[in-house]
Amino acid sequence: MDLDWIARNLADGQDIVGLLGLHLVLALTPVVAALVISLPLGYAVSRTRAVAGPLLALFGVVYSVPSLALFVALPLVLGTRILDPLNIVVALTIYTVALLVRSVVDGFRGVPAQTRQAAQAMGMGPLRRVLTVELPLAMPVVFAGLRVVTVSNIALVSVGAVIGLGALGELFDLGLRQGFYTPIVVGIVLIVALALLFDGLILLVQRLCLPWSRGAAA
Amino acid sequence: MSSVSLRASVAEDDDGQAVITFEAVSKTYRDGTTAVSELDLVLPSDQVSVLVGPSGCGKTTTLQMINRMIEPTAGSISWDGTPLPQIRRTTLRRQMGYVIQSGGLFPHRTVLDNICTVPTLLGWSRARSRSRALELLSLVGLDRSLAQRFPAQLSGGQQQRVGVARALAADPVLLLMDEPFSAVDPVVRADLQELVKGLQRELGKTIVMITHDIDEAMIMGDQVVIMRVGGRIAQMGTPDEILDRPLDDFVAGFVGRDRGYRALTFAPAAGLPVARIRSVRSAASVATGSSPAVVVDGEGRPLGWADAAHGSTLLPLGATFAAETDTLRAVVDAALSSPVGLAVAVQSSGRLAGVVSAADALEAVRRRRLQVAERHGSAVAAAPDDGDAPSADPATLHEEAGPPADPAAPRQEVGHPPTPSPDRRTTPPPDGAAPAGPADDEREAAS
Ligand SMILES: Nc1ncnc2c1ncn2[C@@H]1O[C@H](COP(=O)(O)OP(=O)(O)O)[C@@H](O)[C@H]1O
Ligand SMILES: [Mg+2]
Repeated sequence: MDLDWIARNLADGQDIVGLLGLHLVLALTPVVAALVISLPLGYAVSRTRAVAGPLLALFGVVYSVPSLALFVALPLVLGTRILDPLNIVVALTIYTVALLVRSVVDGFRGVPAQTRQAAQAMGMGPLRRVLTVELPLAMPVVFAGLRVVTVSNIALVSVGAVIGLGALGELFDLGLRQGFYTPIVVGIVLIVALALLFDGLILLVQRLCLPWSRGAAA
Repeated sequence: MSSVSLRASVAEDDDGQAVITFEAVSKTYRDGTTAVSELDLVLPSDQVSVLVGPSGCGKTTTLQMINRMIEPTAGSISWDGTPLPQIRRTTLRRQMGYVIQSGGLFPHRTVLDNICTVPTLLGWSRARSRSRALELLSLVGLDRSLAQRFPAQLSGGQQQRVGVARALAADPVLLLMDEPFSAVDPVVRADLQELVKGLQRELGKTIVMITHDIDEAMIMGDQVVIMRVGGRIAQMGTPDEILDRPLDDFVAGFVGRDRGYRALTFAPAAGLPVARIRSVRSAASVATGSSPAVVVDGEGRPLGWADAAHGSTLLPLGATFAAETDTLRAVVDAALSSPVGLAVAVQSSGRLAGVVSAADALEAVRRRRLQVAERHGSAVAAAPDDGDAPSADPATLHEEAGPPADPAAPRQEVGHPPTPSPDRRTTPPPDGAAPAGPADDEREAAS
């Protein structure tokens, strides 16, 4: 371990801190984007009957596309430069949606039929029913999915290092090329810490937003 | 409890018209299942109508056509003469309280917010909804301290009470209940039945209730509609009409083979002449030529019969009945199972109280059936009190529990006893009941 290297990198506020910030942006933007896409998409899928199975299988296939292949292919599809961070964000958004839709579908499907019926029988309109009853009741499962995708995104971003845009992952690249292990250790520690931190943060938000769901769906 | 405001708001609803009318209504689901066929049905206002029948006979379908959760495929349904399709679904539903099994409460909303559901939809102010919800909590016998709990933090019985409160929140004219009490144990169920009957009398709601339990139908219903598979009516009428004159084998079978006998379940035994009887400590001490005597133990509890004709053997006691609390059915049971034709009455302590002859028991049965036949159609509502009667020890209330059986005494309208009798937990309520008070909750308290 070379503590001097760490100190130098922290002091000029460039490398480590900059990479940390970039890492967060690259990892979390897709989570937010995917959540916005997955909620309506997942709700729609949950309402279909025969089509739901094949659709979910399709999302499974998307998730199994190697991330590297996607990182390389996207610039061609999007017409972006190879080093554009947008590639990473789009690729991770696709993965995140593929994972999160499943949680959203499970969440909506888990809403008890009786509760749904009660909402209808009380005289709630369809939109209000979905937004104020079904959505909140689906959220514990969605939160569980959110924790998984957030942690996996924080790890996945580093793969981008291969195409020269891996945020903290670039520390691995640096360390390997120079045979100097400090950056590698720093990268790993920071990535694990970030993952734990955000996992805990999401759990905290869930506790605060869904006080009724303590101990439910995990 | 503040029932004054509640009562005032339904005061004008006393025209006695049919509320809901089904005319030749059928419902065939997309898969071809005919759940209801050619149903003609009138659900009168200010009464409890109970739909009862085996599972899958179309009860829920019928009920959900009333608030348009299901649309009929043929025929028409009207509410006070207005065809249902002319009323917006949401408007219609907000005027009809709805209670389902396990309450169907929103798990993510507090008790208070659950109760406020319809008031909020109707645009009431937050303050008004809140105070109304608190008022309802008391009305259904729940402590206000439960207001901020989530449904999962309540017992089943408490949840069901919240379900009833939620349905009543915007003071609907009509209450639809789909097997509301089938998820709770029998003791809590009896409390809830009592609560709903009490509320119905107090607030004058029209209630349409579903059950698959014929006993519950008989206890709750002013009108009972027995349905058979395919949503056809097998018979409808008052509980006593159905018990006394089942139309066919299906109804007879559904109501129970011991029909007539079952009707006695609802008549109290209290008031029957209980005669003194000689008690002895040993069967051997009965002299030849004397009448039968009851053999008792050291505490005065009956052990069996001694009869000179049978020498010094102890004869089996047969069934006994509790003099003050049991039903006529229990008396007949006891009389029929007694080796000497005398029904043995015991006090609540278990001590011998006396005997009722089989002849007297059967005479009471005859009178009861006569009363039942005469009574149809007459129902004068004696306004019960607010249900605020102090919750005294049930034992002290036994004395005033049932109407007198003496035919010379003024006849009482069944369904409106002058005295609320809280001791109806283990036996089905005879003819009506008082709203349960908050005192019930200790037993139901959540873990
Ligand atoms: N949505 C539906 N689609 C098809 N068949 C149904 C549907 N709902 C109920 N049924 C059928 O209609 C019949 C009556 O159902 P229901 O009204 O729920 O009966 P009950 O409430 O008396 O148990 C049953 O045979 C049931 O299987
Ligand atoms: Mg049903």
